[in-house]
Amino acid sequence: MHKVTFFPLGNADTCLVDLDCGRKLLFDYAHWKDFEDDKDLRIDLAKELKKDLDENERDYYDVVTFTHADADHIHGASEFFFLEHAQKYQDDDRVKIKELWVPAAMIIDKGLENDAAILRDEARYRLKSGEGIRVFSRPERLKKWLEDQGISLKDRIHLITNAGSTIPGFSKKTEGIEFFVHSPFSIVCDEEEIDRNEASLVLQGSFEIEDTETRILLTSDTTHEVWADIVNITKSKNNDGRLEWDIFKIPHHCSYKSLNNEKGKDETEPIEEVKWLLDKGQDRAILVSTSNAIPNNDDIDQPPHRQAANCYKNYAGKIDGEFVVTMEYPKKSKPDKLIIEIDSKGARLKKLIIVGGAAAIRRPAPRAGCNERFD
Amino acid sequence: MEQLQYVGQHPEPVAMSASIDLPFPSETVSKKHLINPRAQDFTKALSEGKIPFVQLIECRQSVDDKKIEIVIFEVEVERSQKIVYDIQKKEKIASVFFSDERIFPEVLALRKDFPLVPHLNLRPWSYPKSLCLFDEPPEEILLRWTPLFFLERIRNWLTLTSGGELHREDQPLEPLLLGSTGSLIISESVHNDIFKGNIVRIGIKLLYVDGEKYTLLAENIGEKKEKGDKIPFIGTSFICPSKSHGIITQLPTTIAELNNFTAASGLDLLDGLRERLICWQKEKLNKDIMEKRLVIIMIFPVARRKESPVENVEKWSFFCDKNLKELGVALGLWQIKDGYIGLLIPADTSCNGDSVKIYPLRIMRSFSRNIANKLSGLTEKINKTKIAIIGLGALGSQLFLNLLRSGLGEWVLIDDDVLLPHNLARHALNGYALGKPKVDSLRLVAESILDSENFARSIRANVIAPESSEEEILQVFENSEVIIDAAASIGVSRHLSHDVSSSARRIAVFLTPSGLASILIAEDHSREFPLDSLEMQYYRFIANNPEMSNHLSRSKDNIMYGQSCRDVTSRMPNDLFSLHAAVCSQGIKSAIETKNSIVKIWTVNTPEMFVKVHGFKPSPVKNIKCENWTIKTDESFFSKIIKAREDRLPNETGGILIGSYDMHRKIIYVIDSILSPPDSLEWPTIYIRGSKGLEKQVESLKEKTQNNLVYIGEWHSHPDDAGCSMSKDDNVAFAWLNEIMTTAGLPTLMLIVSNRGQYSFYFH
Repeated sequence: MHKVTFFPLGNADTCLVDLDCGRKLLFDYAHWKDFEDDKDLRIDLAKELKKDLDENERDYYDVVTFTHADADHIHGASEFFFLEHAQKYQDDDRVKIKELWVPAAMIIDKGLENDAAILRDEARYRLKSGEGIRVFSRPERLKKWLEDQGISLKDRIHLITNAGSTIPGFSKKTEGIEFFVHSPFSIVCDEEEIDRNEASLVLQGSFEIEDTETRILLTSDTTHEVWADIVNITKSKNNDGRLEWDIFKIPHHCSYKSLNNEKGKDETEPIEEVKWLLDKGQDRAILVSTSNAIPNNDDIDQPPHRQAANCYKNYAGKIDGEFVVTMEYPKKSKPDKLIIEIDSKGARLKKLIIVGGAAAIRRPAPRAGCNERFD
Repeated sequence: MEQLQYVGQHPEPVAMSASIDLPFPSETVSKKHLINPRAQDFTKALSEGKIPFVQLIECRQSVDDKKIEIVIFEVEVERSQKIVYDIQKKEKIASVFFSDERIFPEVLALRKDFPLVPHLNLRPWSYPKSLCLFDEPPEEILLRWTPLFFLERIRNWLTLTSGGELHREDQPLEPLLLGSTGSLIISESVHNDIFKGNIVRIGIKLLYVDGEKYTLLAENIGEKKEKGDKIPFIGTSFICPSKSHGIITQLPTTIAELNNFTAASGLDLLDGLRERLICWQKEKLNKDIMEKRLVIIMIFPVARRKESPVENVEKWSFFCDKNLKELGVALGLWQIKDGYIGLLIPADTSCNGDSVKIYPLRIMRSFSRNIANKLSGLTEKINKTKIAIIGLGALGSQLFLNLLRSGLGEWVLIDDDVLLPHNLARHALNGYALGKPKVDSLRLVAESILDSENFARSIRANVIAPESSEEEILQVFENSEVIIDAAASIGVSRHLSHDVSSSARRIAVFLTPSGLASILIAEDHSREFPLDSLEMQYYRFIANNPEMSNHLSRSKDNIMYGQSCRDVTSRMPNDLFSLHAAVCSQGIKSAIETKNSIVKIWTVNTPEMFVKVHGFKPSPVKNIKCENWTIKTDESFFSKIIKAREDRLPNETGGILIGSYDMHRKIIYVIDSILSPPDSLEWPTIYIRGSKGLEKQVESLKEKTQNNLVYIGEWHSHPDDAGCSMSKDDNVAFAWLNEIMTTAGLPTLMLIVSNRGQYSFYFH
């Protein structure tokens, strides 16, 4: 059985993929919990992930992917991961990364700060040393950067995967999953100003258990324009199957911009290509919005947008599927991990009732003891 | 002699006429003239002088052409001081070798006054006595025949006989070991009456006839007419006045010969028979009785000396080759004309029955409780334990039959099921019982196996919803000493634990879902270790024993919704099942024999097929009342908590409580604790219980115990002399726990432990 876990992080992405073979893959890391704020319902991601690793007696992920270098995908990563490029990120309790997956933009982007800059340095370090990294797309500027470091592209080409191919090291037969890269296209990064959303990673993961295939579309902040490109190129290559999905990680925290330029009154109408894409949802597929709870008004400009949510909901309805929002699951008042199990019967959204003992032992108990007697 | 055949264990009488010392004419020959190889070997061995305690006297040969050879010798017998039978220090023995080597040599005791003892072959002559040396068939004995083997068997026979030890419990004591005519089984219900002479007439069933061999059964069936053909024999018994020696010293072949023996001790058998026949003939209602054949049962009380008390009772039985009508003619009572009886008045007493041939029947006791006890080595102190058993499925039925065959218990069988085709894979019942209530059929099986009145009663009812049988079942429980739960249901087990008012010990037996282990949980005699608490300790045992981690697991292809941990997989061969039934019935026997509580787990290792046993000494149970709930725990739990506390002093420590709920009866079982997780914070006056690894451990506990052990609350310690009252922090923690548990509809439980064994449970 494979397992996909999303976390209530507000408008931010983290997706943990546990393969049946035991490998653990993390897609994005965005730790936002405000410990000062009692009303902050976001999960303590660092603690949650560490606990999971502890229970599995390991201190590393096989793969950590950063789809792009925006804060809602990387926030806090420099405090959580063991980074090889600098000693100050190498405390014992940091989590190690066997293989780092990044879009080429993360190597060549100059306008980065904070976590993004640190992760860029890590990616660069790994690419330079030629180990523990995979870079997606091969823009001219990447070649140039390599040459500036005195490395020829030829010597690193095995670490680079382009859109339209599968990722080496993962196969359905051996690891139980195959990854197909849809984006970024190399051309995107050769523009003067890199649009990080356009240059971000979009993957289709295809799990296989006992001849049953279950596909997940791992998007980032994909816009409808990027979707249009992806759909058109996929169709032109007769690769329709590469856009079929059983689990759809809704892009950009349920923004209407991933569907259309127009928000619409109550429901965003997707552009043709996105319609085509959404129609590729299989029976009882699951759409996951990694976002804040869906508002019932338009007061805030930021995603999630209720119109977009309505659109996705409609598509979910058509295929008897599920539309779920990380900050609403299982309840708005107490969001929790969202777990999807994948076995020979396809994907299944877990609907666990965790109360009583199960709830009591998930976290430490409150302070007890005879303290005040000695005041 | 060539035609002489041995049938069964004992040689047929050999027809030989009397001579000086032997019952056939013979003459002394030199040992060189012997032609029988065994006779040669035997003589050679005896004459070489190398074997002590034996002296060759002479060799003889029959004077006819039958080439019978006789070796006469004297043996010295090893005897104790106290002897039962008069076997002398030296006995003169004749060994008779036949030319047919398949026939085992006949061994004769030549002393004139050799006593009448068990294990003599009955011969048509009364002297010399023929020793019955072997139980085994001759073809087996001859494989091992050597002169010394033969000699030692004779000497051993004499030694054992001198001490009165030469008989086995399952053999009749009578010195009557006969040929081929069959057996008369005397059932328990009539045994005493027959042998006290209280029964003049009894119907005898024919169980089976195989050529000339009859197997007959005398039981208390009255003389029901509908049984007509099944009782072709009428039994009648006579008691002879007691005598100082056995009466019958040679085999009588007619009624007249039998009468000669009885007359010698003062019983006129012919008169007795005539009297009874006349009586029966007059019974107009029972005309077909005259068509039946007669079985005569003779009882001879034997005293060591005249006027001394009776020490032994010789029992003989014979069946006649004529029916009562013909018998009357042979005894001069009447004549038959055109099929009608014409009475002769007076009777013609010159008709002495010499025309009526009689055939000896071996008398056997039926399979009574006593015999069952003896044969299975069961002590008598528990053999009449009053037992109610709930659940007569595969396990219940098989272990019931095991215990039945050892004659244990007075049973009430309670179950509401009928036998269905798929049950035949493992149930003790057979196809005749299909569609019928299991309990009723098992009762019938019990009655057919064990000849004992009131061995088993059956109540067809569901013990939890007994409906019209409620009163009856209540009564049964009240009168029982032991209640066995073989229902494979925790619900039934708890019902028997809590809802049944009875001082009876509860004993639960069940199999694990894989069918690889069986478990026996027995309360102690005074029920201080009740079944439900023992069951909980059993879960603790398997949860904490690494060898038991798969104990309750089931095969993955067999998962059904809501299976309990006592539902056994439907794929399991009966041989494995019978193994468990055997182990469990043994366990029940030893449980009943001791007064202590017992928990035993037997695991079969396949395919090697060895059974490994696990068990533990149950820990004394503590019950604590809390509002309308009961907290049930035990000393072993507290020891663990107290030790954990002391180990961490001066800091506080704690952990989570593991146990089980009975929501229906409002019971919390507090059984175990997962002690302070590694991420806990322990200070002298503060404890924050961490959570690292807890989910996994609790999950694994649930898996190992099939959800029988779960999280039930929190505990922490207070420092020495701080008492067990709740602090402000404790109150907050309790409120937190309460909120979580209440959502789940569960009670909130917190335990605080301090020094000197002080503890307080807080409960909501």
